[in-house]
Amino acid sequence: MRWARIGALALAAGAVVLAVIFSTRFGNDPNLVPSPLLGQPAPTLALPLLDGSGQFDPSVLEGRVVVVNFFASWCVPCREEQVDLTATANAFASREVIVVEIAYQDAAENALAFLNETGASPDAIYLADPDGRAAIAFGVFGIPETFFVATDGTVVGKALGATDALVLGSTIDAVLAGERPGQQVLGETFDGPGS
Amino acid sequence: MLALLAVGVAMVVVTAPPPAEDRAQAIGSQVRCPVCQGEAIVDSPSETARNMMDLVRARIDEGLTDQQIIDELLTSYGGSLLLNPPARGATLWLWLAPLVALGVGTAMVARRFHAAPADLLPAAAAPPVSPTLSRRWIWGAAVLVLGGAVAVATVGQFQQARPEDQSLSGVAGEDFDPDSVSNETLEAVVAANADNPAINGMRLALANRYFEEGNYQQAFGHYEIVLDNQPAPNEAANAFTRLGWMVFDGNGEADLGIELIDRGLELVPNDAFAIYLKGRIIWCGQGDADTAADLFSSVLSSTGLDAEIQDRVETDLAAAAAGEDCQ
Amino acid sequence: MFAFAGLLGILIALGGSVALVWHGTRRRAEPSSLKVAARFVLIGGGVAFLALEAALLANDFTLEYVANHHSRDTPFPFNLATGWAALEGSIVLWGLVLAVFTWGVLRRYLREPSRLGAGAMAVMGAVGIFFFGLQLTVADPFRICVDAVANGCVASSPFPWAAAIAPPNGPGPNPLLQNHILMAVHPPMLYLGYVGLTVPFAYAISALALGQPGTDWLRLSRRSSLLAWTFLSMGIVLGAWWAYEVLSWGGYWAWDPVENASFMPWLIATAFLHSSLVQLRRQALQSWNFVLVITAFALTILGTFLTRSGTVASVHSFTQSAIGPVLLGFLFLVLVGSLTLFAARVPMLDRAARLETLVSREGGFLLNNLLLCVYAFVVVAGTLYPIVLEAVTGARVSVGEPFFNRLAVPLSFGLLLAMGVGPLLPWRQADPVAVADRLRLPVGIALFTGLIAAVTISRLGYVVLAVVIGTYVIAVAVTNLVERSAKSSAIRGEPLFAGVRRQLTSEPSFWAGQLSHCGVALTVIGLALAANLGLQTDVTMAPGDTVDFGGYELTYRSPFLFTEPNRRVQGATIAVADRAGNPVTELAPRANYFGADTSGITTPAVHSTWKGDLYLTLLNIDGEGILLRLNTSPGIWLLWMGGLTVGAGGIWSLSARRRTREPSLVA
Repeated sequence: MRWARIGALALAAGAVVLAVIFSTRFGNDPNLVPSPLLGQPAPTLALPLLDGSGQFDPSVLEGRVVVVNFFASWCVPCREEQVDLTATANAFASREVIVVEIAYQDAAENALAFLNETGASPDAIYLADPDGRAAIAFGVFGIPETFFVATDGTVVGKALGATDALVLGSTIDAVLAGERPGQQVLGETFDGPGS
Repeated sequence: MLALLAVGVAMVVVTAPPPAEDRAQAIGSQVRCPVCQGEAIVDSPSETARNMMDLVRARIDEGLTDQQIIDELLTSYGGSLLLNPPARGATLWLWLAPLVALGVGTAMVARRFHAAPADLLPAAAAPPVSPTLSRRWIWGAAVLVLGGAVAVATVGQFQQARPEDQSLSGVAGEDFDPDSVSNETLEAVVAANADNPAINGMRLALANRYFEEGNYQQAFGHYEIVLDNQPAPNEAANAFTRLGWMVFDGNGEADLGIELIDRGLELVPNDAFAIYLKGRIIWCGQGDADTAADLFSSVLSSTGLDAEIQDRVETDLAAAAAGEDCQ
Repeated sequence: MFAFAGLLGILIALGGSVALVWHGTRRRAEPSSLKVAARFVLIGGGVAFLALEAALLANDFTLEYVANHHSRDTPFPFNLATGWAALEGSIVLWGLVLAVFTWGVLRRYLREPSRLGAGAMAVMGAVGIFFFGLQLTVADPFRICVDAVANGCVASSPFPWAAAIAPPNGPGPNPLLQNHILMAVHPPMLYLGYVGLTVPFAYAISALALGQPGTDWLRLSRRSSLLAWTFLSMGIVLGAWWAYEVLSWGGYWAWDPVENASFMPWLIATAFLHSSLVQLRRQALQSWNFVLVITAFALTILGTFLTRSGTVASVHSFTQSAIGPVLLGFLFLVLVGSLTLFAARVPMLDRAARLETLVSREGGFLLNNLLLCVYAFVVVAGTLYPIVLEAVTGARVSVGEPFFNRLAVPLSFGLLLAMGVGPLLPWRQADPVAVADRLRLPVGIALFTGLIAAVTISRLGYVVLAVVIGTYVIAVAVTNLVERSAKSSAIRGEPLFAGVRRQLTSEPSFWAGQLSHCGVALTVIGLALAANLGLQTDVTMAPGDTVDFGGYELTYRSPFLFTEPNRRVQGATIAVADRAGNPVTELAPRANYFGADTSGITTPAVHSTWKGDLYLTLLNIDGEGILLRLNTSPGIWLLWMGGLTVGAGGIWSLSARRRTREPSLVA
């Protein structure tokens, strides 16, 4: 009898604790997982060039700030951010910053048609990822996702959702200044072409 | 019953080490498909999951161990990729809890059959219980409910007030401050939004910065674009004023400079900076120190002047009033 | 107009609920006033539901709910099912079901007026106030759209007289929800189960508050408990079936929070159905039954909270709204309120005699309760752990299938073993030797079947074990029936067939329970076969290609594309032939594109035989070429049959109970 009462009151107390815990969860996106890559060396980008002209030599990126963006022709927000990525690639080319765009789960001809339509930068690098290895290595959940790699090859920033020139530029400024911007959600991401 | 179990277990056929595909399936069933919810990559039909399965198969062929393969995936996606939480660290309790529950439950069941002498007393021997609830319990419940509600509400407040730990710098917002951003960034922004009048403010900020740096070539183009791009009156006045100064300072065209500044002043009369620049042109370009001194003193009479400008105007006024040549 | 009618209905139901609480808690409750109040609740709930359905049928896009969840092109019956496909509508259905159950409690009360029944009506009313209150506040389905875009509503007003702006059309329901007819059936089933558990809860709270913890509350609520449990069982099976037919991963159960949300109360309700028998028979386990009923009801609210608050990542978390905090508050109120009430009443409970020995029917029930509760605990812990851990430490973990399976499999086998012994044990005390004697034949049958299965189907440990234990449970039920019938027909000198019929009609609820046991056994066998023996492979095919798979020859004929009013369908025609090349069937796995949605919903094509299913999913279509996933699910029909048999046991028990209603014990 004593035990029944203690047990019931313990359960009620447990309910209080649980309610408090749950109430801290409102407004958090349960699908958002912080990237474990932040602070870690960036995966190497030994990938074929998107236009099929050969293999990309990742040593070009050494000692530079690299912006790695995953995009696809089927991704709606990617269309919005493409013009800003191009402008950023142009504007920062003189400051040892390289923008690398990787086609995610997209046929090369579709991705190229997308770039023809939305514009591309002569200073940016466009890569194909036929087996999705780069996307897996970067831990891509849904695109657009953009990673910022510091000059020492460490991933220091990640943006989920469509970026814009301001976010890109200010983040690059911060990375160039030696800061580590971390992770931020900017908008909706898309899992894949058929999901 | 034991015989039943024994036969069942005996029928488990122990075979040779599993072939590669079985290993791949076993690993795949432990790994969550990152674009799905709670589905293993071996089950999910999504392309991401299929790519990950292919990676697992490739790594098996390369001779990696199961743990190495899983670790590789965890490096990029994090521990929440594991569907099967490890029985150590933070998730050890999850594995222990069912055992504890089973133990507690068994103890409870055992107590049912452990007839203590006190339990065998007839029910009549128990103290009489009133069917009405005592106030103590009602108050207790009320206090618990209220206390909990307060706790929940407070925690919610705290949660909202807590700033994001990790965030990218400089997100565009209402209180965006262009001073914190480099010229390249602003260039990228305005380039990306070439024909958008809403970007005029940002373009002006960039142009003004070039203007301050004396980089008239860069500033000039941006001011022109602003003027072509349906500027608001204050934006146009800003552009005219500085264009006026630049044509004078850069090319020595005093008349055109004054004309441009006047167009700005038509849009925003009494703009202190414009009047000051106009005074400078009149003084330095046309050598008319008296008119310049009048203009400088009218600038000083306006309120809310920037301290630095005020200093410059005061110095210039003193010099002009003394009839000196401009510096 | 629909908004006025609907809101009026909600208000009437709310008024009725308040009146129920008012009259039900009075010292001398008036049956006639309670009847009027319950009638108001029923009429109000019905009007609200019908108004919403009528608005959907009439394409009245001035309602925000219709504008955002319906489309002119949605075909019947999916336009009706849209009435509960989104949050607000599902709460309206919840309210209606609650009103129907309240009416049931009233009917019972009118037949047998008691303070206990009046108190239960008051609790039903209190729950009604909450759910109808939701419909007026955070889950109002009758908001008027005051600003619209081409295919939806962007601003709304709670006032039905607001100047409405209707979009020309809506986006239609979630594509996943308009892809299969089972979606129209399985949520109402689950709601009937969830809401039905309110009735035993109401009686329990009434009994505790009035200080009448006898067996009356169990007796009065048993029918509703059984009904709720039956609907819950069917709802879970149909949900798994829907997932299998629609979600195209070849699976049926992924331990997703939404699935767990329905499974947790089912486990506790099952435990309650068994342990309440012990109390009805032996006056023991009084406090335990209260705890179970409170837990079962709280778990239904917890499940609703988990799936509707957006705090848990889930396949089905379709909605995210302000309802989360409100549901959490209600859950909290229910748990704290009823548990402190229980704690206050503990001195009144469990004064009855203790039980003699574990080797008895009640011992079997206790074992079953222990296993079921640990099972439920595992499911709750696994579901909540990631949330709690992240809130406390910030660490992110997933708890998925491997964890649940590792614990659920031994627990399920343990339950089956208990099922195979319990029904043979007499109440109070069993003679172990006699019981062992009666077990000999079923054990022999089970081992023999296991041997056959090992030779013909598979020698995989889990499969053989599941076949042995599953057959054992069924064999126990059948031999028990035959033995008992033979005994009674020998005494009466009638043929065995007549004895069987006499047995089945004289003790229908026992045999209905045995039928449900057989259903569980079939389910476990089906699960073991499908999960362990299924094959899977992905193939790339061009038109004319043929592959050998799972005893079939599959030939890819051609891709196809056609348009229906509400969707575009892209697919591939696959000819299926047996090994000898004789044509068997033609399958058309496809991807459906609803409305302006560019991302398709894949729909698998399934060919079912008694041996198992051939399951084709179109992963990708690129010009003429396709990427096809091939699955086999051996024996999966046992899973559906087993689940429906469990429900059939419940229905049999319910219908038999109606015919052989005991004369009431309390005046």
